[in-house]
Amino acid sequence: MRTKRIITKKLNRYWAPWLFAALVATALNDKAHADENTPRVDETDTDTDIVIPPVLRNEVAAVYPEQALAQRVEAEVILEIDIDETGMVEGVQVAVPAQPTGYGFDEAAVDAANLFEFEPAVQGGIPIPVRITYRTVFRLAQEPDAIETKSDSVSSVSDAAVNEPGADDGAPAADTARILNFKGTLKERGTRLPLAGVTVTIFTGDGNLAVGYEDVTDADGQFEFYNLAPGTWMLLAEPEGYFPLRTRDEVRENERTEATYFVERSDYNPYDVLVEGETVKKEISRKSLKTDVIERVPGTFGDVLTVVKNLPGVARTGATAGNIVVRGSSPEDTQVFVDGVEVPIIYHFGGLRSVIPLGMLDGLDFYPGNFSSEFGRATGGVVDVRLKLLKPEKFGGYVDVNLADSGVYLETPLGKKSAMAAAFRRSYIDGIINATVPDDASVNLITAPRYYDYQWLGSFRPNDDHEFTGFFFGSDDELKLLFENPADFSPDLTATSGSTSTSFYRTVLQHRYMPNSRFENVFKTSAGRNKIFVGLGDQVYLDLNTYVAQIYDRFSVGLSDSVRIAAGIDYLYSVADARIKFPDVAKEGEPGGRPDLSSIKYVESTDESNNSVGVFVQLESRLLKRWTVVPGVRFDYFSRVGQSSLAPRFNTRFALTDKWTIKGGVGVYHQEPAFDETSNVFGNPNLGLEKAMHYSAGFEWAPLEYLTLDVTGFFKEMDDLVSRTSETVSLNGEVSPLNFVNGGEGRVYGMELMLKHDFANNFNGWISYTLSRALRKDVGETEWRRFDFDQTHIFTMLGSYSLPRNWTIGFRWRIVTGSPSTPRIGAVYSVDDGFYEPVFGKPNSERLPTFHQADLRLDKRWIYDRWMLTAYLDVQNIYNSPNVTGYQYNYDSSRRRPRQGLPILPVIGVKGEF
Amino acid sequence: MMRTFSFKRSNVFAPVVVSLMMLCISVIPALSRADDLVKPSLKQGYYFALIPVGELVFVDSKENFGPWGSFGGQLRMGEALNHWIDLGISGGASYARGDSLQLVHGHFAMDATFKPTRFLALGFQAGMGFADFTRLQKGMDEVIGRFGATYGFTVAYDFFPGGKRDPYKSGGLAITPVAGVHLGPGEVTSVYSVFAGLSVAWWTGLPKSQLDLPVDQAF
Repeated sequence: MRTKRIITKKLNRYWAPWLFAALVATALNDKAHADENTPRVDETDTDTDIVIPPVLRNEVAAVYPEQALAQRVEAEVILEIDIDETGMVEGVQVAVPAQPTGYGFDEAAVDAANLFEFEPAVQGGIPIPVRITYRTVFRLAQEPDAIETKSDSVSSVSDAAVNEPGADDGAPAADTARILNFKGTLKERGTRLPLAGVTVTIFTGDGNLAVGYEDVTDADGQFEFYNLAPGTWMLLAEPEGYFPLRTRDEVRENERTEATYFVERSDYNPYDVLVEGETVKKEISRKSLKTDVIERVPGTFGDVLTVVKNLPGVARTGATAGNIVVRGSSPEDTQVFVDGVEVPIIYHFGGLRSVIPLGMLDGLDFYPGNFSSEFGRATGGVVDVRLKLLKPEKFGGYVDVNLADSGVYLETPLGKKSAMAAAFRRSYIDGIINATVPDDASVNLITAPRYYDYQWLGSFRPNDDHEFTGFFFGSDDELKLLFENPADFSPDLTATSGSTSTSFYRTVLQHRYMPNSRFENVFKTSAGRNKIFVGLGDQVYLDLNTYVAQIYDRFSVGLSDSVRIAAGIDYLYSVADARIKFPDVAKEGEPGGRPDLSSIKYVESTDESNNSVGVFVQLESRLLKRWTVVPGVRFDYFSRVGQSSLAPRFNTRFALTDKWTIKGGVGVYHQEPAFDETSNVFGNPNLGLEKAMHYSAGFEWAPLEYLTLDVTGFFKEMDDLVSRTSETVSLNGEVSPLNFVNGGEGRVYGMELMLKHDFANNFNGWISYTLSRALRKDVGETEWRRFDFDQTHIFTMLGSYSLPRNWTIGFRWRIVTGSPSTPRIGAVYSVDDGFYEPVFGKPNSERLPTFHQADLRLDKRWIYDRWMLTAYLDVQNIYNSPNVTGYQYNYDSSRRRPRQGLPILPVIGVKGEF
Repeated sequence: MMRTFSFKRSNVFAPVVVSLMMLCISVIPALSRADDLVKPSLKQGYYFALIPVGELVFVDSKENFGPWGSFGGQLRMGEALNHWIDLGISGGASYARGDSLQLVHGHFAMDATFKPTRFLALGFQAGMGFADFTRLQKGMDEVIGRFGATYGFTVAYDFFPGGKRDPYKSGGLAITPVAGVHLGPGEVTSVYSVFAGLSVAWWTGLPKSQLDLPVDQAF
């Protein structure tokens, strides 16, 4: 590189005739040109025939000298290569030796050049022997152990002084006479990333006077031209997938022209980065999504965890409900991890936004069931949010502004081995609501809903074997209210203010050691605090302050090419202070209604510690190349209930053909009851573990590389579910309510279907459908009843199409069976309390109307030289479907009217990336 | 006095909107395959259009009103994806007043335009609309405000008064007669309007690097 040569490249249809003229002219003026630019060209015997230089057909990379590599020394060597009329190398001499000497650069370059093969030079149609100069560059690549030796290759021929045999081949005076007077850098517009390997053409003149040269950009996007005549030159570059660069530049006498050119991609498709290596599938129900797909799903505000609700097996919950209901399990039965670390909350304020911004993430894995023994303490599903592998090539980031909040994300490399990223986000819903709530409203907002979150991520890779990662993140939500007249809300309410706040932080340190492909160990430790407060003055409150620590280690060893064993330990410790003054709250299957503030219970505890330890081992074996078998077992001990569990799990996949795979799994899962359910006051401290058995079987069909159909049937049997009881217990002569027992049962069965179109032909999307029945049997009951979120049909269809000019259009449509609800069948007037006490019908004996909603999203990206701006309009519920989320009853429950969900809602946002 | 708006729902348009979306999802990709360099054309690049409109408005409330004469304006902006499709957003508002009634209604919507010929444009809008409907009474006005979904359809034909067609010119000023219908928020108060107007639009054209130009025009 850094050379120029006579143009021989085929250009597009407009340019070809014109440049052909330039070529001919260049050729005809070859002698003059050589005199001007490459002074070492000797006179040939025939003035009328030009010499067509040889073309390198087989280039052999030079071996980087070991000592130089160890000491990280770089150099370049200029050679003179004699090529015979058959194109074979006759001899190689060092014209300009490497500096510094003594490392063996010259010898390495000569050895490699001796193995070159050329198309011979031609003069007058006859192959001739020639001598060329050739430069070999020894340059260390960015990775410490990787090296690259690069040569000027074919383009160096242009740089060559083409000599006749027998011509003076003395010192390379040509090189000392070369004057670099045009130097440029080619970068991608918007991202500022260098464009390597792009041919840059520079030409001037017209007709017979046309002269043109080429160079190819190096890894830094740089190109150079030497000895250009003063005047106006036209520069052309046409990289594949980019709009062409066409510009004019001046070359002045005794001056060097230097410039940076930004070339715009014809399509800044966000999915370009989605290409992933094929990994061995060992889970039978896992669904993986990348952030670039997530960001453009309509109706989700680009929120990573909201997208989960569009996957099969996940029930629809309210637009502002922050829970994930998986395969008929209660929300608390599904665990959410951030890179394997448990987090207490995943959403700000009931599902508005998740607590980690998209910039920090690589994507997520969702397991609706039959997850492997690596995951525990959950009987429902698992959502594992993956942090991104931090490898920024430059300082960059984004600023994201939308109607709910604004955030900033920055990342930067720190040398060649380290990198760092940081992010911060804050809402301004408080400002919007405070401005819109009328002065005479019955509720005043002191601190309207506001949230913020923050993250810091750092990584250090001293070599390929070790990787250290540090991650610090946290979140804080707060809402404070003033009531003008508390009795408007409940006759028993006397508090004139209410507030809720939730905050947490975690520090995570991780070390990954992978000395070879057969062994890997990941050690992770995390520590942090959760703080939750909900209160109505001094009348009712829950104040919970918990410190948590987690230690996790997982190693895997490849016993052979087809068998791998993985094992690990997962230890969780918590110590909590709690002050709780609360009435009983409705549990699953119980009608909501007004909390009974007249029977408030109180409990206070300090330094209450709990721990749980999990140990798992699993074998990952591939038999007969087509059959994957993953047996595993997990042991857990839970100190809060004082019980341990052993959970064997088995997953298998069998590839019938390249396109058809059948799969199945069975496993046992355990989890502790909720915190309040084991409380001395609110619950029953003698409760035991809840248990679930997961069975699933199905098939996958991949008719096209980008199209997959996944059909899975499932059955889940739940035992020992915590269920409310009216029984009492006598302790030390005192009779008290038992509150809860492990007597509930659950049964969920159904089928999930997902037809997924990965990004291809500019389209990305999926159709998911779940057919299911989720039932519960409470303690003492003989009949099964519907689960709170039993939704028979859940159909979601969504897609994004990448349009020209950096537009993207996205669409989502959902139709879901209405959730069960418990009707009020009357009311009884309470003389004591002075209001009507509702009488409820059979739990979950009726359903809300069918839900359906369409969302539409448009994205447009503008590209500037050093940054990009994306604006989007996301219209939720575009046909304003009047979906019913529940019913509002009158005073004596004799009449009701539907409570409607989200109306049509346009959301606008902008994101600037640099 | 603070005006309180309420959301009113209608399923009347649901099948229509879903069908249209499905149609767009399937048709737009077919029409919008990525071009490399394109021949210069007047309708290229971004457009910004201001459209004064006159309307005939029908109000479907507890009683039916109209048609009324009304006037207003619309603003459209977007970009030509290729010679088949433009995409953008549009917004607008109109005002009408009768003896006992006053109406302000408007919309903010996504705007997709299909161009079957070089200068003919068929536009579809879907988004959010509002109608502020006031019954003028002595002593106190009765105010009914509605937010809801809105849909529109327009037909337009572009004239470029620049006249002489320069084969290498991209973009320019367009004068465009526009006619269309808008269906506003529904249920108790719905607003239907038929309108006509004259759009003044500026097309920015494309940069030279994105056009297929001969060498003497390209640099």
